[in-house]
Amino acid sequence: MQKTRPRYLAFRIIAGKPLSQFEVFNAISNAILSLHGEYGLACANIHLIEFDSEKNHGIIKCDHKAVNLLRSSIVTITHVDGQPAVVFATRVSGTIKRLRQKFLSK
Amino acid sequence: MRRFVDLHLIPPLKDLSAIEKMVNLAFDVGLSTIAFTFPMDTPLEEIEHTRVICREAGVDFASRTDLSPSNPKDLIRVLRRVRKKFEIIGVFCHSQTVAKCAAKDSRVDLLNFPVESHFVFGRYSAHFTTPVCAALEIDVINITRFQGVERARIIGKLSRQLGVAKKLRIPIVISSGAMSWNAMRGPMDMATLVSLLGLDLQSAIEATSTSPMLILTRNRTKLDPSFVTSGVRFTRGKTIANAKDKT
Repeated sequence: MQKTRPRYLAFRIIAGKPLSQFEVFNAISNAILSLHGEYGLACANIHLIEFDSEKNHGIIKCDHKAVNLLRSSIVTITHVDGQPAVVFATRVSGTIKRLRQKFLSK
Repeated sequence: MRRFVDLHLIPPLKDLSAIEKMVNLAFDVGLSTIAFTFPMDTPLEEIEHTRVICREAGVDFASRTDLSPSNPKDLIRVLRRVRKKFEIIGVFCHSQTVAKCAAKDSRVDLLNFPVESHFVFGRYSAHFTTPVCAALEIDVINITRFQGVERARIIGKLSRQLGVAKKLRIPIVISSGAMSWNAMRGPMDMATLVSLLGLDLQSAIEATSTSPMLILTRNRTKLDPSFVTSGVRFTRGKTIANAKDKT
């Protein structure tokens, strides 16, 4: 069985209201589902590691082959829970420790 | 370090707070240069005022206008009027004749083929036999604003446009086409999305950075008062004047 290597993608959301972790994960999943379909969503194997609803920053884990799939999908998000919103990928890293270092240093 | 450019932002020009929000967001997402689209008859003071707002936010600003001519004669007439006023000129091609004329004209910087138009860029690619001076512009908003079947149709249309551009070696520029802050996107995110349409990721990144920057630099050189013609610049005015006095 081929070993899967994770990638951690840091993102930022700008929205009209504070968002919960569930709403954010739902929006990202739906975006992948809409652009790449059910197979794409399954291949991406995404997990929302953390989401700070005050700063609207978060980290999402995905398969290393699905980074571009995830990145292209989050571009298509225009609304989260009925509110206009925009999502930006800020950084990608292979380890969560390194991502946090980069993320916090910014 | 790579400098990212978004050459197609269409803010509501009367709303200063919206402009400021878009400029600040552009800085946050890593854009170093942005171009705002103005109507043709915008006074220069208004353009300069927007330039000041961008400078204060730390973003380089370029002025742009979009033309939607109905025929080639109309295009040439309008180009004569606006070329010296704006740094970037985009042409929305609604017909084959306009597209052919705009592609040949060196005063046109960007060719934009509206997705709503019945005219298909790829179908008449054989007619672009002469070297094309302008670049093909892909607006990411065309993909993000639709969903489902409509989006699938547009993705197909844009990927055909990209295929023809690659075949004819037309430079490609990726822009957001944003009319408000929530339609703006990060340059790398836009490149990743467009890479799905058949462009490799490296070329897509070039299309958000190097290609638009080349167009802008070329136009700024041409609009400089010291520019005479390609390769000739007026550099030492005083010396020449002194030489004339002596003779």
